[in-house]
Amino acid sequence: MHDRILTNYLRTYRRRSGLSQRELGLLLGYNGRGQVPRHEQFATNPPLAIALAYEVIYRAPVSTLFLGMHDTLKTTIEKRLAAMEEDLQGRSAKDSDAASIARRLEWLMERRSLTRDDP
Amino acid sequence: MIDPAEVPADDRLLAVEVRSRRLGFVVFEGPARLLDWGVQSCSCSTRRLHEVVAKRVRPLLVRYRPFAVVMRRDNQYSSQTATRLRISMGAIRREAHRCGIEIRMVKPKPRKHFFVQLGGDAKHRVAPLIADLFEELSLMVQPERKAWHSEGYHTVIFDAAATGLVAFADEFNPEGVRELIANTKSFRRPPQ
Repeated sequence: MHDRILTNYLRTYRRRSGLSQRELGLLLGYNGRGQVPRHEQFATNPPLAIALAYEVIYRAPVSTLFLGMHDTLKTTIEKRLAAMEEDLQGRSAKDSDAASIARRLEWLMERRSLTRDDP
Repeated sequence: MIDPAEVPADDRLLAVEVRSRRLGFVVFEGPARLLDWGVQSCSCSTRRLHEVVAKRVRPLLVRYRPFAVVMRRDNQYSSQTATRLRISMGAIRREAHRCGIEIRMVKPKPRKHFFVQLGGDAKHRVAPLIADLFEELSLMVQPERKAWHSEGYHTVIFDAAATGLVAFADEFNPEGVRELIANTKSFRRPPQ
């Protein structure tokens, strides 16, 4: 039942700001009041422009505002990247695109070392 | 405001304060961070009370998925009001059970003891203490009321926050509460 992190923290940020859902909707460019509650209740995910607008309004990065979603995506993508790396390593060195495979593996290793350095 | 590195693993708690015609709630994420707070009206006939309270509490349980719901064990009200409190608390208990969330009741004595230690021996003194800890609530602090005035609308929120804080201090995260109090300016003792 219990999820580690909430999908987003939009409601918390709005409550702290003191803005109403209607006021926030107007700032985001919505005419009605319906969209903001849907985002806050995790019923729908906002489009990219609106997510960036939230970032501008609250002065917090999108990855922080949508912490749960960011966390889920990160886990999924890291799994896919690991699978891709395994696949590339399994390919024969005699393949015609050996240089291209080597470049991709090098990039994956660079990326991993950068991820490790991240706080 | 929310640092991803600080997000606790299993620390979400819903604290509820029940009155005869309204509920105050506070959602904590760890003892130091409030996610949501508010007052829900359940001003309806006693016959429909169970249904109305369940309808008010269910979205909070579904949205925040807390690991526990905490309430105050004892409310010393008149016998007529106690029926409504019992029904409301029963409805909350049932909804929490349905969602697989445990219920904890905080006894009034440790709750009072906790705030007496901080210098709040009455409800109107506890509210500013809570507001010092959580500045989001500071706008809702009410001055001390006269005996013939009715209770402030937002007082239930402070009562719920107090219950949640005591639950963390007594059981779930005593270290976190100590840290929160130590880091709050107004609780720091001047150097001797």
